[in-house]
Amino acid sequence: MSSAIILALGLLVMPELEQSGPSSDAANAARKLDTRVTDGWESEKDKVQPASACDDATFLRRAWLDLAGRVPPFAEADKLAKSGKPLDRAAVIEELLDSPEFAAYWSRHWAEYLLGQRPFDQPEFSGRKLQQFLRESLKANRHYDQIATDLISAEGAMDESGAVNFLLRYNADAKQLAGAVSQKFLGLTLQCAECHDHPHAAWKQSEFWGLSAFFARLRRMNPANPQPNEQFAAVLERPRGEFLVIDKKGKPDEQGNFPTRTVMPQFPGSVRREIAPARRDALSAWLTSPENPYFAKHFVNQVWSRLIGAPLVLSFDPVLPSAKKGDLQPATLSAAGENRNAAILENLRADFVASSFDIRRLVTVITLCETYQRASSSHREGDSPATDSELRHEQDLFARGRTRPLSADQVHLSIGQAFGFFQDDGDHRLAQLTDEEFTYDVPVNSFGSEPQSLGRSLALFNGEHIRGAVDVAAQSLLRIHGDAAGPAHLQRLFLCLLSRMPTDAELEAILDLAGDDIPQRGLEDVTWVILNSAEFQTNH
Amino acid sequence: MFGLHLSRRQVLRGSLAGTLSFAATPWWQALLAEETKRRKADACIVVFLEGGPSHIDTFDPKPGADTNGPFEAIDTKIAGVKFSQHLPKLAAIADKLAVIRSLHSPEGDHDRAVSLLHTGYQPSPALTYPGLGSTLSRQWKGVESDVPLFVSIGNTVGPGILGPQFGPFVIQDVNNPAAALDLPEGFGGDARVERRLKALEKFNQSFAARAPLAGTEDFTKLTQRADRMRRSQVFRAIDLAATEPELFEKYGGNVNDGYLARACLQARHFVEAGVRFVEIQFGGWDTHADNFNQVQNLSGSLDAALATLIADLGDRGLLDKTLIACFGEFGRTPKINGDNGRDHFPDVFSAMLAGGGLKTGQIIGKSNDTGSAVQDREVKVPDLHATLFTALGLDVTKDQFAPDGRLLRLTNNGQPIRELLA
Repeated sequence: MSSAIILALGLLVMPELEQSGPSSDAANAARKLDTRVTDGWESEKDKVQPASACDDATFLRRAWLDLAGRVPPFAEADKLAKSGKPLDRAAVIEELLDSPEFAAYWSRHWAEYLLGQRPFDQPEFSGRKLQQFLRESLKANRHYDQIATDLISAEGAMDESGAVNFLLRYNADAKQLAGAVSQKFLGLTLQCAECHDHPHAAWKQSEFWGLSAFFARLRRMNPANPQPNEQFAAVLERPRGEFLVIDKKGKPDEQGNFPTRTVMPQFPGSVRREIAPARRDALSAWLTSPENPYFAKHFVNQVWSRLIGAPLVLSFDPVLPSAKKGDLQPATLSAAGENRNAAILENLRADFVASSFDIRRLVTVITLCETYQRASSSHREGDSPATDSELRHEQDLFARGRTRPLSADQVHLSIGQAFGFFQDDGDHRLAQLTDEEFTYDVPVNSFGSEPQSLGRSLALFNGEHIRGAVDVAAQSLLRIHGDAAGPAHLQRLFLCLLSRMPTDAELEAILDLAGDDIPQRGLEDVTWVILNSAEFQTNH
Repeated sequence: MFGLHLSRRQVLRGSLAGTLSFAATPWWQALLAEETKRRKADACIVVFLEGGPSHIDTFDPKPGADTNGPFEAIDTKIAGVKFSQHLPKLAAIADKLAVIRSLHSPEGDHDRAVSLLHTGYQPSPALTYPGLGSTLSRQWKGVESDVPLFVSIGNTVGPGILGPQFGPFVIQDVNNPAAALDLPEGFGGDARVERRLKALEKFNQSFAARAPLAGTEDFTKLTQRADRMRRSQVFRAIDLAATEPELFEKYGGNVNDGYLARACLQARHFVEAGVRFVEIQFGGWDTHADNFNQVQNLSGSLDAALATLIADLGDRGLLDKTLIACFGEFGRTPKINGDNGRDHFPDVFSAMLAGGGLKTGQIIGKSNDTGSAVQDREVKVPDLHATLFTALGLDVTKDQFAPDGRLLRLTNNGQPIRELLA
């Protein structure tokens, strides 16, 4: 709760924000992006009826969950409920992007994406150090090309360089890194070509090897005499050394072993060999160049997907012409759908490149969009209510918002935001020392990694974390609003978890449940109902 | 009894109880036995050898070949068929096994191959294919049970496009299948739970009316299932080593860390309680280095656990209706690398099947002399899946559709292995 109060105080003393300069430029970019979205509707048979903008309370909760990974603090929701004035949405976005919560939350899921696993800390690498590097980079608003360059060109010990832990995660191994770099930074699955040219794969083995060769001189160093519990590794680049492959076309020696052959660095999709001495610098220059066809596109596609709930392009791998006739091919977007999304993607990419890969600006542009702010609810102006398939079609056209289940992190952080309850208090305090929100994997341990699963439901039903949370919630409501459960208790609870006031009907129904002989039990029950509800468990 | 749909299994149980409570008439029993024999399997246990086990060092040895490595090959109960020396218990009951030695897959990357072996489809960004357990759960839809139909010990491939209601219950700690099943002391019992559930249902209904695409019904159903599961006994922490010590030891409780013994014994308990699909993750087979020591260790666990599971299910009369399958995401290279390891190899690999009314005691397909290619009767992953589905009584030729209306057959044109099916 204390961080919420501090944040709320911080907001009070903030100066009035100018509505010109960079933010109005972003607003213009957002309008252009919206036009790209609505342009696509012209090819539709029927007139598209876009959802109207979501209400302010929904927007506040959506933006907080997306950018800070948690519901808004009570003070924010309460202020909005009482103000009667429209919310300055642009200001909310700007404040969130400047907040430590944004850097903490986005660095966490970014680290998870780069590492491809949880928990972060393993004997071979320190994912926490990597996350800290990303967090500090986001705080300083370092641009995406700089961050990518740091990750690829990193060197040094795991506890000194955060970025080097990306290389260590893939064992500083040339082939593993070629696979990781193509997948994580370009959205391409080159690693399928590791074994051989595959008839169904779009990439050639030579391209995979050419990319691997950029990392051929890396060496992973371990201490000669490791101490128990000591975690140490480093990455060094040697001045020479080449990437060798087995040449199966060559003549085997007497033992039947094929000779090896040197493969020089070569960019995928290019025939030019790279002989620059600083191989990884050459690679990151190529990777982060505005001309690279995938680097910016893949990143904006991911950020869009994270904020809107569906990607614009499902895969950047070239379409495979080799699929046999009669094979069951999964349905993809229609040609019109692909063109429509490609236009949106190109618009976003161009803006991102023009801003020299400014991540905060990218997030600002998307969240300022009408497209981001559209309601997900079924409400339609005028006549008959829409059918589910009509609503789904509208979502595919980005004419309606999407509901997304909360991740384990979002559930954990939201309960912490609402009640100051973090289950493992010792861990929480330890984490604060390093400016983190948790050190052990409390969210996944408490709630399971899969949203909408039996494991998650069981955890929310009767897990220790939830038991603790409903207990603390009921206690603090009684302390703040008095010993008899009444509307004030419930209004606060709704604002804490759902960022909105209860309706009269809800108040009546819930008061009935809350009216247990023992107020503590009644309020525990109400808190339980809200935490187990679909409304709490989704970002809508 | 109105409106109560009895499953075939319940009817059979009912008639069995009936015959026993009256004077047992032999012809009735014979008929029952006949019926039981013809009945398809209705449960499945998959032991997934994560990492990709070496086929040559397990079920497909190549004695005399350079590629064989140091392991000896030993005779099995099937004449002329040999297994690795580190699978003696399975060799001794090979008449109860069927081994496929000619699996072939196009995927040599862990993630993609794990996905293929679970879904029967090569992964595609356009459609998240469901894993075996989820596909089956959907076919078994309507089977009322307090326990989940699909349990996975360790992570597995989820329901994908089929949606969360067909997802697994994932157990991370085999010693403690589900945490916090018991209501805390002084909670107020089931009456208080009922009150909460009623209020929740109402609250969810009003949200569903506002947000029809939020999957509210899935959330409500999952909460109700969590409640039913809470009441069942089988997921409570149980010390298997203490409750069935002799059997536990036979399962290999003292071999390595005893994980697989526990998992397999738990799986038997789950199947007895009505779980229809259990997957057990048994990792460690990605032996790029030090292959032979590691495979020897892993084989010790695998041999004891699988052989005992088969015997145990047999003793309880459950083997015919419980299909057992054991495979990994690919095999490993015949060539032994510089680290005394073997690398990923999807060109040819093996799978072991048992129970489920299959015609056992036979080897399907053949790899060549060095174990580097299929020599005879190539079996594709969809064929393996089609065999499992057919043994479980499903028609793989029927068109099926994903919830969004897209064609989604049980397998990608898989053909069941007829030789294995009765």
